[in-house]
Amino acid sequence: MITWIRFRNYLIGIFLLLILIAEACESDLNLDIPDSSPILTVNCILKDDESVSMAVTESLPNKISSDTITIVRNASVILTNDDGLSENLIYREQKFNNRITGDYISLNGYKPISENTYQIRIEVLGFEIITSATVIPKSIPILSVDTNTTYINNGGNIYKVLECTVRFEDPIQTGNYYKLSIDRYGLTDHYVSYPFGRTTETVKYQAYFFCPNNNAVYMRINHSTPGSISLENEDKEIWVNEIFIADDACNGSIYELKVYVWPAWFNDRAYPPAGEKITNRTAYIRLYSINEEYYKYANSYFNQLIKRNDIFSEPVQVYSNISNGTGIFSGASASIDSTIVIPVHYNPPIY
Amino acid sequence: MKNRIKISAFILLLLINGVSLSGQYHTINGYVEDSGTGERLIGAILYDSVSGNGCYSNAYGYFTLKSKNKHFQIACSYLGYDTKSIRVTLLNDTIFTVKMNPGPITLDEVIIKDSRRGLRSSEISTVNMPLATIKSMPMLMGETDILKALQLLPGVQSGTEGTGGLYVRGGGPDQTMIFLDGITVYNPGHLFGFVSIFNPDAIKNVSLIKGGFPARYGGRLSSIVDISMKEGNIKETHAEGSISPVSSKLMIEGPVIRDKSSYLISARSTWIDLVIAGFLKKKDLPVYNFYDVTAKVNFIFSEKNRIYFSLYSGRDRIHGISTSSETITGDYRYNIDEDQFYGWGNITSCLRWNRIINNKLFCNSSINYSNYNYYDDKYFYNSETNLKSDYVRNENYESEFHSGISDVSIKSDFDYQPVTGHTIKFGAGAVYHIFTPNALVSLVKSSADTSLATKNTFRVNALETSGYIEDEIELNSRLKVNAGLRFSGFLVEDKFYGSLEPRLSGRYLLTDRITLKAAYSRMKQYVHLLTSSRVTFSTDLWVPCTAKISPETSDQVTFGSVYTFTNSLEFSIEAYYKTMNDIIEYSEGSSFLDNSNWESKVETNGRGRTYGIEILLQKSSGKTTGWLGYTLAWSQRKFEDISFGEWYPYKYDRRHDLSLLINRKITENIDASLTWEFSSGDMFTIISQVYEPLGSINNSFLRIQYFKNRNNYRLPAYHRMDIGINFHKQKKHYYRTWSLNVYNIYNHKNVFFVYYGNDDIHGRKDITILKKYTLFPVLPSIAYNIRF
Repeated sequence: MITWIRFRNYLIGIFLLLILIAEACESDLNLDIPDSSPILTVNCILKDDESVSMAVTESLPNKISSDTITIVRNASVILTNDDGLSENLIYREQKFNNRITGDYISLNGYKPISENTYQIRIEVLGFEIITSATVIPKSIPILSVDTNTTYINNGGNIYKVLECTVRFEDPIQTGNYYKLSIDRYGLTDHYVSYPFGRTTETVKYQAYFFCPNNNAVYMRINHSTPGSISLENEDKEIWVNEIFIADDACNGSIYELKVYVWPAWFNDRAYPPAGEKITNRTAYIRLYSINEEYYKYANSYFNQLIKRNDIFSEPVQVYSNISNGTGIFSGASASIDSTIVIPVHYNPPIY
Repeated sequence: MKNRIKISAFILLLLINGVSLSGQYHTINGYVEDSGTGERLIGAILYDSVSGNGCYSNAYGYFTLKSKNKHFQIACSYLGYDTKSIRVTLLNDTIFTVKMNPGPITLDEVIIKDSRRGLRSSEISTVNMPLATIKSMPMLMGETDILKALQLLPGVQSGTEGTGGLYVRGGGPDQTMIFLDGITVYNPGHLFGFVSIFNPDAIKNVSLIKGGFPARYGGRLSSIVDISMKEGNIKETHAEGSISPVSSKLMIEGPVIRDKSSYLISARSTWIDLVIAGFLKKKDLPVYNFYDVTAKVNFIFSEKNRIYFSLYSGRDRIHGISTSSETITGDYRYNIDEDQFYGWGNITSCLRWNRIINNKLFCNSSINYSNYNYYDDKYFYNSETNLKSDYVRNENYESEFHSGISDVSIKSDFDYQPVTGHTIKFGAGAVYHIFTPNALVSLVKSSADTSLATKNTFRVNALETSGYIEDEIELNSRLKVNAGLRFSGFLVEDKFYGSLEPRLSGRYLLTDRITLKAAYSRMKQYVHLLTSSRVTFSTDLWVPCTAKISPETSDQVTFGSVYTFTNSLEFSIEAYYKTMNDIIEYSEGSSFLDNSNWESKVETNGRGRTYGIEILLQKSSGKTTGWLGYTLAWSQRKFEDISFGEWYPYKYDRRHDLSLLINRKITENIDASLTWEFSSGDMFTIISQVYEPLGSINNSFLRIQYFKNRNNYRLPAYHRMDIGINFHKQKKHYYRTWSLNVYNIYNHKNVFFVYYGNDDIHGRKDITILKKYTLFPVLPSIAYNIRF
């Protein structure tokens, strides 16, 4: 009996000790992620209004994702098409906002031709040979562009904006995709510290706009000004500078696309000389007819960007049509219209 | 044409009458029940040594034995009961009740021959788990859990650690149909799934079917869990209660009219909220509680008619963190109060009528109701008060989100036994579903007016019908076949989906100890559960197939063999291959948090394939009992717009799964148990590389995260050992049991959740790494059970 009482006390003692040991019900531990080899990335949209330009870079392991991307400078890049074109693209390096960028370009400024099929073949030492092919779709003409000033409610605030309505006729057959961007040319300043001063040059300003018809339209953030758009904003009502349209919403009909342009777009220089007046601007409306690959790429990329921090959402894989690598090789045909717009001055929101 | 009709009619007649055409049979039929409680026993084995015929009692304890001889020498056995021997001489066909006395199993030679149900039955991939086994297992936080016990079987996997989701043969949690007394239960979890809603004190029997489905079952692709509630003691009043770190429960059963009618009421409630309220201020933590009530009454109107009414109601409630703040700015005081209520629950009820129509035909008819509801209500109260004047401005915002499914169903099942060894089951049923995947009502109330900000209710009504016929026939002493056909239909949004689901299973006795089994079954599923591939929550939405979304279909073939070493030691091996079509999945980037129309955020027309081998070695009697199970399995999915249309591993594609259960009776009053689980880790999508997007210039913020395919990384293996020891004692007025349990005794830090974080490696603080979050360390618990 005494033995049993001792045994029982012993059990109770162990039990209480175990409760003390289990002081917390959670812990964080690190997991080993296997290392993976870099892959080649090719980014190229062949546009019939621009000469060929293609970026070739190496990917980075995710664990050092904030490191500088390696630009591939020694690649053999051959662009061919069905009409007998076979051109070695040449690497060209330049600086942009203190960052080095490098592209493979056509030495003779070759502009792709609408409805042609193009192929690329890229060889880089230490990587598998990369190939891809794409067709440049036929351009779809802009029927009309109307502009007007109006007021919109954005996030509960009322803003005065430029309303721009672009009309075009979507062909009856399915599988048509479009991209719209608006830009203008204006002055910008470059400041130099020694000798102190500034230089001014003409550059392209892309408009930021908002499209209320987000059922049919997909929007994209601006690459060159990081942080200007909150990626946590899960709805698509954000100011962007490119929109992508799938034809399932406008198939075979005359489509009227309405966008609202952010007024700050009309300003040229951050600190214009005293007395400089904002004059009328010439806005270029570029409606690109793009192929499905480009649309899928842009759509999945945007989807990944806005969902990457949501632990409850499903992972998003960005579309790629590059064999043995990743990125996008696709085509676009431009239809460009221009219109004179009266600047809309930025006003504080009307409460 | 006329000849064809005549031949068909002849075959049908032959099928219905069987070999009864060849002679006159005497029939003894009735129920098998517990002599002390009147509880009907499911799956009891009856064997007539005069004719050599045998049978099992069905899901309602009903049996039929036939013989050309009017003398019967019936031996009836049931696990945990004394073997009963009855000598009967029939003058007329008789309805007879076999009353079994609880006690140790002492099987004589005759019974040994037929007690090997796994060997002789045509059932394949079917497990009947005794409640005694479930109750003796080690428990998490002192809670006996039926679903966690099933997870220890080969081919059955758990989802997130500690939760009761069943992933059977590579299927998802929605592909398991859980019946409680024949009624569908949509969410079987309390406490976010850590505790199952089934109170074991009120449960009589649990069976799991993983393949070779008889035609009477349908509605889900992967498995059926059939749970039967106790009927209540018809002889005398008894009570049973227990208390564990999570909850306390009480069950009372007894006769309403002795030998005529009985009742059972069981209630359980957590007391976590009371502990929290005692130690912490209410506003510091959300207040959580759950309860469930199970009740059943039955009336015996005559020896041929019996009516049951059963009810289950359970709910989990969280009163979220109430916040209250007050700020004074200038002449104004601002008050903000916030309240959040969150919860879910099930209600099921069933009115059932058992009738013995004649000595060949038994009928079970029922009217059922099932409801599952989830809600998330938020209330914000803002007020602005001018301290120098009477000006007060109030603005309140109320948001009420509800999601759920309600079913009203009616069905009838018939058992027809023309001769012993030949049973025809047939029946039909209809279910009217009301789906409300997401109903959101939000109101803005201000001092000036009240306006309805949003009202977004998506509701779908659907009618599901089914009918079946199955014929189980012993063609000779070695070959037994169960062939069946099920018809099911689903009418939704003016579209009708119909389906024929053929079923076939059979066994061939190779020797007296070895049997070979095979089965094919097609299953159809008309409801889907939208669940995240990352976590499983009670927020998962039940949605129907619609005009745009087709029902899911599976085809499964199973081959197996059972080898009986001794009376209590059995080895079985099964191989299966299952394909699934028209399955759905959240599309890339979609989330259950997104309140948009669910149809727009799913990928449809998906395919799945799963295959594997399951091995089970089990010992069912003696001082030491238990089993060792092993599964080698593959499970994959394919959707056109996921993973570039390539096959990818399912999240729970666990290659190896090993489970061990040992129960040991140490002394008359002490028993102990041990379980050990080992399984390959879950699959997870890791980002292996990042690369530049189009037009970007070295902007790490905008880089594309690259992974070659979905679920490309296997998380570390899961393993855990639990032990439990029970001390029983018969006191003067009651019987008590102390249960000591230790969960995860060697404190293995299993993965509960993984996420990306940063760490300091080689002096760099920005290295991205994968971190795991582990939930359950070694976790001891104690429970006290009392019965009188």
